[in-house]
Amino acid sequence: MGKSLLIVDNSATMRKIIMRTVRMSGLDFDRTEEAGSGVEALQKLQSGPVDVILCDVNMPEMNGTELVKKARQLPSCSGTKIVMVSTESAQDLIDQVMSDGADGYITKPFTPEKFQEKLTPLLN
Amino acid sequence: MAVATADHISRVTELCDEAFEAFCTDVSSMFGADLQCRREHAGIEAVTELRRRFKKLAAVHLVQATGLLDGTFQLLFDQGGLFVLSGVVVMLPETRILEQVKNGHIDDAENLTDAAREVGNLLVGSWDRVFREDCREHEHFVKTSTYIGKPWDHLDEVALSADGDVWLAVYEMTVDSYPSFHCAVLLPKALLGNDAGAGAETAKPEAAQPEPEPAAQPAAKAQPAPPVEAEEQPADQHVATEVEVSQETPAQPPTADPVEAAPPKPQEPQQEEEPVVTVDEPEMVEAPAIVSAEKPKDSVESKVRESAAVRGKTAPVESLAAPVAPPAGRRPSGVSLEDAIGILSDERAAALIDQVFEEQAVCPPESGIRDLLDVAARDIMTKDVVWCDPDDAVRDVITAMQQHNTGYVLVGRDEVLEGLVSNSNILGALSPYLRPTFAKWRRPEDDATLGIKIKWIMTRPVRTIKPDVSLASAIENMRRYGGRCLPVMDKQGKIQGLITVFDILLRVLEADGSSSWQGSPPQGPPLMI
Repeated sequence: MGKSLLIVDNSATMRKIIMRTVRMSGLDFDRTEEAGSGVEALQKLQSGPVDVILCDVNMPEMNGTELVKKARQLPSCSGTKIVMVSTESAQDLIDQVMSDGADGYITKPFTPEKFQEKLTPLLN
Repeated sequence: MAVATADHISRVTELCDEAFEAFCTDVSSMFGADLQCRREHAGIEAVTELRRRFKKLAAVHLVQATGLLDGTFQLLFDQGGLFVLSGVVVMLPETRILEQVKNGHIDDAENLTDAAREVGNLLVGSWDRVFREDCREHEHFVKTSTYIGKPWDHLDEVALSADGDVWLAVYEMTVDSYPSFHCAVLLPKALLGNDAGAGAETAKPEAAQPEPEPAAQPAAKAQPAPPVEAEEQPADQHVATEVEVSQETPAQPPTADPVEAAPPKPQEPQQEEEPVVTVDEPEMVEAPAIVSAEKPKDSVESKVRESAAVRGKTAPVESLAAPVAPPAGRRPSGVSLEDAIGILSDERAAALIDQVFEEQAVCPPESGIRDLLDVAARDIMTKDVVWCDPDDAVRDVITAMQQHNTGYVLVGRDEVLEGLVSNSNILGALSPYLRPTFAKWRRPEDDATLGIKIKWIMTRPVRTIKPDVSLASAIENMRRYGGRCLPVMDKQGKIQGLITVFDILLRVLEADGSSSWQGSPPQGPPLMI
């Protein structure tokens, strides 16, 4: 069965960039969805599980760390891999979101190779 | 606060060099472009002098720094940088980018706000990484806002003071074959300490570089467009400010769905020179200008439209709802020629051609249009033809159309023509739920339509014309058989070019002499996928 991906970022441009980069990385997702906020992402997650979430950290309304915590409380997200994507590269922030339940962290700017490197182990 | 010594300034300069170079490397890898930069100047400069360097629009990213640099500083792109980088990020056609670099207005920049903001995020991300890796004292960079407009008229918006000095490092940056542009870092003297001026002297490049006069471009570079700083914008240039929600800023009131959220509170009518201040919200700018026609009414695009109306202008997107044919070679007041042509449907364009053809009998001989009808196809055709393979996916052809700004792609192998695919073919095959307007209802089967092979949707057989056929015959051919694009094929069966309704309309306008034309209308699919 194919994998599904949810991209969460308040910037429509960045969602498209991420989608394009994932496609360039050669990773194969049968279904890709987008959410413009943490709230919208949670609504999507409540309606059905996804395999991987790529999530921005700094978002208005509900930031990425809050989304990770809330998503981890959903039964439908028990097997979901959550990878944060952010310009923030402070190690204490990375440690914090990883302890909150994220499975990986990709810093912007990113490359297709970086997506492949970080996501392939999670998909397998 | 850091102590400003020559060594300190020199170190900061090196870090700035590395940070801009890292940005070039990062963006090159991300978008498959070739970015290069080199420092042209570094030193103390009065804020009032900055106006001379950056005369046109600029994107100014405010960065809150802690650590080695402690306070707020500015990263700036000039008009060329604003439009080239934003355009590359959202894959605008090259012709569109070049046009905006040369003649871009604040409305064009507003359409690219989201992209410009992301460019700033990427830049600050590169800067933060370089400083983190190479400077133990560095703690944090956070981009707090992005200003687009003429910052020197609104210094408070970019956290600068008219009577202050800044330490300035100016870089020349190039992206692929686009005209070079300038970017800069502005460090208020307070960030470097009171003695920054002395140290700044040592920060200048070893090889003396001429001051980057705004109009100057490196002579060695072939520049397809004039220098971006060469012309002054009209005095009534509008200014827009976009304030982002920083990490520490309280979040916006929650809404269940950003797409369905109530439109932002309308701005109070403002005076001409007042900046438009908009609070950054999710989905504030859904997508670049090429999809603006598909925005829901309550999107930010509507707000921009309202804002433009307040300023007594007709926003280009207004015209999209109801395309109106320019009567007798003239266009409606307030609608740009580019907009007027770019929005024509094939059917509408065909009707116009019919009209031209039928009216030729009454054209006065001196009008030029009668002569035009005798011109050979080879003299009108577009020679830059884009090909695709019959087994290519729709998504690949959309990308090719957007990159080459064309509405028609020939299908075949080894330049043997098998079919023709147009914007209409593409849009007919794609699910409408791929449009940003319907993004929330997008399903996997909608994405699957992007994978449809071109050979299943292309038009065939393809009607062609010979290079020596007259324009009148080409128009008659289009009218009789309904085609809107005719490949021009020579006796050996080799494709020499294409004639489209747009080419014909442009030549008619040129022949009429009542309109001048610059640039190229957007012809690629209005989708960003």
